[in-house]
Amino acid sequence: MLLYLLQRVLLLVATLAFASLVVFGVLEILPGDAAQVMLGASATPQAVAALAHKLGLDQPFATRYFAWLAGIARGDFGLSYAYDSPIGALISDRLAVSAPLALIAMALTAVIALSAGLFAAQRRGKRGDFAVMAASQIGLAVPNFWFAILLVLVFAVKLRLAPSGGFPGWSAGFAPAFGALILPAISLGLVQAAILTRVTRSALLDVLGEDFIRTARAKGLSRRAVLWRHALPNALTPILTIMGLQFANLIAGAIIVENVFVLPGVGQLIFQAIANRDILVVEDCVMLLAAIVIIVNFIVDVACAAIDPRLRRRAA
Amino acid sequence: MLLDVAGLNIDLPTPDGARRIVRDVSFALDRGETLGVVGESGSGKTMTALALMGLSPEGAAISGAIRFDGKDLAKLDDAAWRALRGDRIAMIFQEPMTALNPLHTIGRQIAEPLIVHRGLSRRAAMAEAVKLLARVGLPDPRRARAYPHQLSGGQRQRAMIAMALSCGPSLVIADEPTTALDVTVQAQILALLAELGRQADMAMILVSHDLAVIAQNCKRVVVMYGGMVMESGTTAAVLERPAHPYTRALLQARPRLGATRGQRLRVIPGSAPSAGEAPPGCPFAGRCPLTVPACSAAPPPAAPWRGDRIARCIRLEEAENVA
Ligand SMILES: Nc1ncnc2c1ncn2[C@@H]1O[C@H](COP(=O)(O)OP(=O)(O)O)[C@@H](O)[C@H]1O
Ligand code: SF4
Ligand SMILES: [Mg+2]
Repeated sequence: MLLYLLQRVLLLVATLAFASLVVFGVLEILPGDAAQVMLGASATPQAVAALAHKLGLDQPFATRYFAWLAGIARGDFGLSYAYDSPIGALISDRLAVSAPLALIAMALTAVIALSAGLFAAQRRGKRGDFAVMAASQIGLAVPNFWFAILLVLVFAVKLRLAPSGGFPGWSAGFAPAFGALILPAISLGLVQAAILTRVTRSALLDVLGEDFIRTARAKGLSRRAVLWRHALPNALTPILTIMGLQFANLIAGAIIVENVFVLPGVGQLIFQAIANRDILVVEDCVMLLAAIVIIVNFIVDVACAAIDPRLRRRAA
Repeated sequence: MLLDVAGLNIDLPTPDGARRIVRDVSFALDRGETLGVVGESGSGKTMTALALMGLSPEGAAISGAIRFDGKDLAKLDDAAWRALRGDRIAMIFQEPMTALNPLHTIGRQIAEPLIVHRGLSRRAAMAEAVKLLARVGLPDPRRARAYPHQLSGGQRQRAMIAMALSCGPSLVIADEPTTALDVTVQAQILALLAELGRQADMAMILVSHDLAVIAQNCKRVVVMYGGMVMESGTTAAVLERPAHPYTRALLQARPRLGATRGQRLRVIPGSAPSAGEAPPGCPFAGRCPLTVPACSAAPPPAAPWRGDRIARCIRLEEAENVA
C-alpha cells in the first residue's frame, strides 16, 4: 500500500504539472497578445506595451511560467487587472461560497443515490425499483439550469421558502448563508444523483449475482449482513469512480448555477473575469478548478485501492 | 438417516414460464456416509444441491420432501434456514476464485461462520481460522492474512474447505469441488476431503461429472440425467453392472487415461437436453439405443432392480440382454 501511495503521489504531481503547463500555455496560443486582448482593439500601441511590461508579458515564456508557479507555491496568485487587487484574496472570498456549495451538492448526490440505488437493487424488477428508475430517468433528462430556474419559481417565488438568489455572506450567520445555498445545491446535486443512482443500482446488481454472495449466504449470514458486508464494499469501487468523474461535472455545473442564483462564487468570478478580459484571473481560476478535479480523482483512486487489495499491486 | 430427499421437484421461472428443472428426485444419506451424484452438465446437480441449502434461485418453486436430521426443511422459515446453513449443512462450491470475496482476507472469511454460529469474538474466530487452515494443509499462519488473489486455485479450494468445515457440519455438499483444478491438485483435494470427512464422521454429497472421482470416494451413487435420477445404488454395482441404458452409455463413453477433461462424457451420440427442455417422457429417449414409442409417453417410474438398486427405465430387461 505504501509503495502504491508513493506511486500515486508522483503521478499526481506529474498530472498537476502537466495541467499547469496546458492552462498557462493556452494564454500563449490566444490570438494576439494578452495585453492587446485585455485592452481591446481600440487601445494605443503604447498602452498595450506598457500593460505588457507591467504584467511581465515581455519576458520569455519559461520565465513567466516558472514565476507564475513559484507565486502559486507562495500563495501569491498575482494581481487582478480589472479589480486591481490580489487574486488570492479574490478567489478565497469566492471559495467560501463555492466550496460549501459543491460539498453540499456532492453530499446530497451521494446520500440520495446510495439510498435510492440500494433500495432499487434490493427490489429488482418490483414496483419500488420501477419507481426509482422512472424518477432517475426524469432526472437525467432535465438540464441543470432549467431545473435551477424551476426551483426558484416554486420555492422562492411561489412558496417563499428560500431566497431566489444572492448570498448574505457567512458573516450574516450560518442559517441565512446555508439557506441561500440550499436551492443551488439541490439543483446541482439532483441531476447528478439521478446518474449515480443508476450506477449504484447496476453495480450492486452485478455484485449480488456473484458466486461469493452465494457463499456468504451458504455460511448462514442474513440477507442484510450479506448486503452490507459483502455486496456493498464490492460495489463501492465503481460507485466511487463515477463520483470522482461527477465532481468535475458538478464544478462545471456550478459555474452556471451560481449565475442563475446570483451567488458570488468562483463560477461567477470566472464569468466576470472573462467579460473583463482579466486573463490572469481566468488562468488562476481554471488552474484551481483543474487542480481540484485532479486531486479529487487522486483521492478516489487511493480510496478504491484501500478497499480493493487487487488494485494495490496493479500500479506500475 | 441423516438426509432423506423424496420426490423433489424444482420449478424455475424463465421468460417462457416456469420450467421443471429437477423432477421427482429421491435419495437418502446416513451419518458419515459419502454419496456420489454424477451426471452431465445441465442435468440438475447444482440445483438439487442448492435446494438442500435453501438457496434456490429467486422465484424457484420447490415441492417434495427434504428431511434433514428429523426436520422437514420445507417448513423452515428464513431464520431457521440461516441457523442450519454453514453450521449443520455446509457447501463447497465449484469455482474457488469467484466463490471467495476478493476484498476480505481468507482468514476473515473462514472466521465468519464461527462468529455467526458460535458467537466467537473476531479475535478468537481468527485464531480458530488459523488452526483450520493448518488442518486443510496451509500451516503458515500468514496465510490467514492473504487475499484470495494471492493464492493458487488449490490453496483457495483448501480455504473453501476450511470455511465449510469450520462449524463441524454433519453434512457437506461438495459441488464439483475439483473441476476447476489441475489433475494432481484434484487428487490432493479429494484425499483431503475424504480424510477430514472420516475424522469428523461427516456425511458428504460429492457432486461430479467424473465417474473416476465418484468410484474412488463414494459407496453409493446417484446418476442424474435431464433433471431425473436415472439410476442409483452402490457404486460398485452401478459401475460394474449398470442397469440403465444411460449409465451404460456413460461408462462406455469414459475416456481412457490421458484424455483431456473437457472430452469426458461427450461421446454419447446426440446431445443432452437441458433439464428444462426435457420431453414429457424419458429424458434420454432422444439418444437411447433402446427407445420405443412408449418411452416418450410418460416419465418411466423409479423401479427397484436386482437388490438395492433403483432405475428409471421401462426396458431394463432388454437393456440387460444387449450387453
Ligand atoms: N437461475 C436459473 N433459471 C432458470 N434455469 C436455470 C437457472 N440456473 C440453472 N438453470 C437450468 O437448470 C438446469 C440444471 O442446471 P444445474 O443444476 O446447474 O446443472 P448441473 O449442475 O448438473 O450442471 C440447466 O438446464 C440450467 O440451464
Ligand atoms: S425408458 Fe426408454 S428411452 Fe428411456 S432409457 Fe429406458 S429404453 Fe431408453
Ligand atoms: Mg453444476
